[in-house]
Amino acid sequence: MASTQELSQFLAQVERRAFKQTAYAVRDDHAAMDIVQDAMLKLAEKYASRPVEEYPMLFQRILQNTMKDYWRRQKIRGVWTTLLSSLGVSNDSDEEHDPLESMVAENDSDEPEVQYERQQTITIIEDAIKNLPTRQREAFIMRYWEEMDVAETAAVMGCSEGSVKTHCSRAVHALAIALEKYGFSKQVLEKAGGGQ
Amino acid sequence: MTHEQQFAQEVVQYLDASTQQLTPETASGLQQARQRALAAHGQHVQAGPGVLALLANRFLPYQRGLSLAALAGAVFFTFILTQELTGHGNTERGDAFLLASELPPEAYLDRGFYSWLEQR
Repeated sequence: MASTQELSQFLAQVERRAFKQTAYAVRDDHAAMDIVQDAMLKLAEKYASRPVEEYPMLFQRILQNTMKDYWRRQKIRGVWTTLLSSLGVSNDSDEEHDPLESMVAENDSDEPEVQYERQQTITIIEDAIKNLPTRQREAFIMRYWEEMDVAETAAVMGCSEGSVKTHCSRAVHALAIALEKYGFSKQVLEKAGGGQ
Repeated sequence: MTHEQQFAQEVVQYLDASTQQLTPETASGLQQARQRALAAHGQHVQAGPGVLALLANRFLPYQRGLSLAALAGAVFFTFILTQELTGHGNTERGDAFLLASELPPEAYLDRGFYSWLEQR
């Protein structure tokens, strides 16, 4: 059974990646925050008796399931919104999105030009990740970002190991094609990424 | 490491960098979410897993055997209950008692007649 301290360390390690991963999938930071929070609570409440070694895989599975629940609710909500809008009822809950809000504070530890270039690269890569098909994005993130092995990724995704490899390969090729459109070659990525 | 893996590693470096650029609100929200989860975990640890959960874990390896035993027990109980309700068992017990008795069956047929003769 994992101690509270072990759980704390685990959550501190994964929370930011989990948030970004969820935000790529649902494309809504508020919803992503709710989903990550739900996943954390479920892990703490329902799987407290499990050893800490099982947490990465369990958390990923919970996160994926919570995202699916979110999409299910969105689908139902979408049906009702369509029905209500067809009846002439406006939905006041939708707020206008201000792009300035999503801009992040820059790290002033580097020169402005380098910082700007890196920020641009991150934005392009994040957009490319968001545009991947869902299964490819899930496989890529779990395999390469969460560093789960093929068997664990397959277990979380509920597919065969061969499918995981195929999804990962296609994701990498799709990312390479997307980045090449912006003039990024592998060498450019290596050069720019070396400073991290 | 294959070219594919190398490329993925490069991309992941940028994704790692992106996690360091979360807005203060987001970072704070994540921290609060973590604290809530830890509080829930603390309550669960204090309360313990509960008697039912402990029993379930204890007998989990024998799940199939216990299920079969429970099924057999239910069938036996139903059989006994049916016998009791129909009275079939009582009849069998009565016949067995009569045949195993030291007295002949005729002794039970007209006890009142022999008593009447003795009184005369």
